[in-house]
Amino acid sequence: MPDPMEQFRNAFFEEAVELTDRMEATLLAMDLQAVEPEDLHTLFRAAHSLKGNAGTFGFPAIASFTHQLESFLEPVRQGQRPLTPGLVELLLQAVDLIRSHLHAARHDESLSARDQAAQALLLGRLEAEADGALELPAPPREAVQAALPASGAGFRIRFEAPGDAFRRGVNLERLFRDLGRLGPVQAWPDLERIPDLDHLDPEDCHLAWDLHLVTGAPRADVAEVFEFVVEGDNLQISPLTPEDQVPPLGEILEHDEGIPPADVRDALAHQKHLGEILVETGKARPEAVARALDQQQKRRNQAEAATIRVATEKVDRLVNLVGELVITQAMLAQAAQTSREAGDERLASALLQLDRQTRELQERVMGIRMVPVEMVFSRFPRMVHELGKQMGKELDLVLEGQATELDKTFIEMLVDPMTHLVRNAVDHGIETREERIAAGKAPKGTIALRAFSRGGNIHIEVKDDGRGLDPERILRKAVERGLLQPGIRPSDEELFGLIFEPGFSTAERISDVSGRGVGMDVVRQNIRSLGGRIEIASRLGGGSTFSLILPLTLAILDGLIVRVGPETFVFPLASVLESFQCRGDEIHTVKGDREVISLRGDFIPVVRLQRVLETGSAEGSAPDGRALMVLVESEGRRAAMAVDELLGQQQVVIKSLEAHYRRVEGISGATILGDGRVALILDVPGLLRFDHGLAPATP
Amino acid sequence: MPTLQSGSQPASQVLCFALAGESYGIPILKVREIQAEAAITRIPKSPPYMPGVINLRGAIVPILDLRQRFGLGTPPEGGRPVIVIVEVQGRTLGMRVDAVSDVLDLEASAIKAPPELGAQGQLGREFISGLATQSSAQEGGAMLILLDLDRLLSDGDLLALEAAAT
Repeated sequence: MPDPMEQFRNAFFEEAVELTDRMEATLLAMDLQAVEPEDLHTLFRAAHSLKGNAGTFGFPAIASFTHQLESFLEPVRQGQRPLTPGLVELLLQAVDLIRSHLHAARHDESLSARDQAAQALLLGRLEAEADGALELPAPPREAVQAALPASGAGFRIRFEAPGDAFRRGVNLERLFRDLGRLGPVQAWPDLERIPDLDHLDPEDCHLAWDLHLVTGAPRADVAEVFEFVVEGDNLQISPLTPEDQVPPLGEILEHDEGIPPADVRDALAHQKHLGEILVETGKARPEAVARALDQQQKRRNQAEAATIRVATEKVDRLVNLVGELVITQAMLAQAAQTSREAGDERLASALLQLDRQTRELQERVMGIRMVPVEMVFSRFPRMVHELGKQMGKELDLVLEGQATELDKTFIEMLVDPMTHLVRNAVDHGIETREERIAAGKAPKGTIALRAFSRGGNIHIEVKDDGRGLDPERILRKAVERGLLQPGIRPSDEELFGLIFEPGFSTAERISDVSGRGVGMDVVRQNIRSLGGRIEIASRLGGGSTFSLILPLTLAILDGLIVRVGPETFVFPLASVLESFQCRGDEIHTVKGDREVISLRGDFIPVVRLQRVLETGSAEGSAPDGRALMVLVESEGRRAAMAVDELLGQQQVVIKSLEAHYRRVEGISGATILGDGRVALILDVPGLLRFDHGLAPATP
Repeated sequence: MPTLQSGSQPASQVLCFALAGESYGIPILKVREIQAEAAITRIPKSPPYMPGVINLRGAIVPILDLRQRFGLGTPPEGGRPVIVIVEVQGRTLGMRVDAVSDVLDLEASAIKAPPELGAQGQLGREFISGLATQSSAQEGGAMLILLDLDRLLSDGDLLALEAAAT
């Protein structure tokens, strides 16, 4: 029995991850020129829910941090503060910090000292950015990143000395002296934190100050003074209103009249809500205000409760069960055929109906597992943004077809290969700005991620308009690495396929981002394990497109059922180009043992499945050497597979063989046919490798 | 070393089956069901004692041919082999045997340690957990060979096949 608290915690983390992802996606998708109020609400709601959940499940550090974020977002949401690029950048950092928080909490650790410092700094910056943005034009992003410039006449500082400051021998006086070097300081001690005598430990430090520092120094200099005493959120720095602007009343009171900032804060906290004032002045009845608040809350909840959470395992069981149902249905259909031949139509017509219903049920159930490809795509705006910055390349990212739906399992397994392809595109594909200008291209590189479904498959493209793959260079390298015999010139497509071979890398330099020669083979491995394949289209100087072609789902496959010898096998229809019959004299022998067939001017290698699968021959093979061929293609390689009979096309439910059995080369899985027999599903890429070794097919 | 049950232990039930004229027994608790010979789908490149897989109500279950495994030759013509579905260490597997005969209660005291067989038989001593005389031994006294399923199914050869999967 799992610990119920553990379950709740897991649910919390799951939802928290989703909320942070949503915040990030919203931040990245926002058009700052025309901010949608709904986006701001989404941000606010996410922070709000995080705060609430973290509080409920006992993660005070997360609750406190998200609470502060929420307070920053509140005026933004109300339209009182504009959302600047700088603020977006800072909020993105906040998202990262939430993730660090979550990670730490999940492992029952506290936030690392580095992250704590980052958090304190970030909160200060957020405040500064938000305040400074009131009237000022938005500072450029880079400037915000490097060092936030002093946006006004100085800073408002709230500093709470660490409780162990005395024991650690911190010289607090020196802090003030150092601050004084930056400019005139006004200080108000806050004694509210000192407990009464009964509870006072004289070795504990309970001091806090509110400070106004008038200075032209950048904020980093101010933060540096406090470098050794920052702990968690005990330091807040925000800019004072610049001299050419009218400061808020509170600030004037503090500065000119010496009213302690703590009192001003207190008074502000007592400001009344709209509803309260309306009620007190008799302009509105309390019930009316309560109803309005209720309504507001309801609408908020509605927006969030459109989905339910279901354990993947439950859905998987449902999917399996429906798969069984499809098989049973096929068995019944076969039985009905017999009864119809006997003249009874009733069973057949009832079965026709069952067939329709089963199919629809299946589609619906499979649909539960389908999620929009956006779940993968959403991480790339951030990544491309960071990568571009890291490598000094200007990049545009275009996302298309985000609503295309994919099996959830794919989503998880697509992340790594796609990340790799995108990194490669940024690192190797897109040229530097200078190179692009010299080549007469737009200085900004474009990376496009597209998803669409075509012919029962999902296509996902990673496309760049960079330098493209150089077939000649790949050829040289392949010969160098012994992957190709010198003097052979395969087609460009086959050459491109070589970059997926282990240890093959064409990058001339090794960078942080990619180019260690590991990865591309893993990419192909991952995509294959999903039953998919990769195709590359590339033009030298014109960019590359990597297409990941995946089946709609892992659980079902459109199959071509064939007989080989006495046995039945299933080809995934996705890799079948056509089937045709040929005469024995159309098959030629090369080097004595390898067979090829001439098809519309091309020589295609022939794979005798009877031989490869060791089925032994049945009465099938015609005496005149006529053969039935299934033309298949995988990763740019084609082959004609000799079979004995085509038995039909059918959707089959994929059963893993490996869970029960060792992995068999050339076999990707098994299924159960309508007659209840097990049939093996052929692994076309595996069969091609199997037959030819690793070297590409030589035509 | 195979464990030898001591005399104080209670009776256990074993399923008896025939293989090339000999009687074998396995603990009934490991047996899930008995299937008449189902259509076996051959898996290419498998050793003869792993002839393929069957469909067990929607699940795909591999088959171990005990005759082949023990080097007892091919079954006689006209025989009707059956498949005993066992579950060992979380894995479901079918064992093809010549015929299933009986379920027996065996007193722990009726089980004897297997004698040293050396290299005479193809079946190594390591798969035998003990020998027993059937309780109907009065007339005939047929010997029952008790198999150690855990050992049989985690045998090196099978493990090597499993390892090939990774």
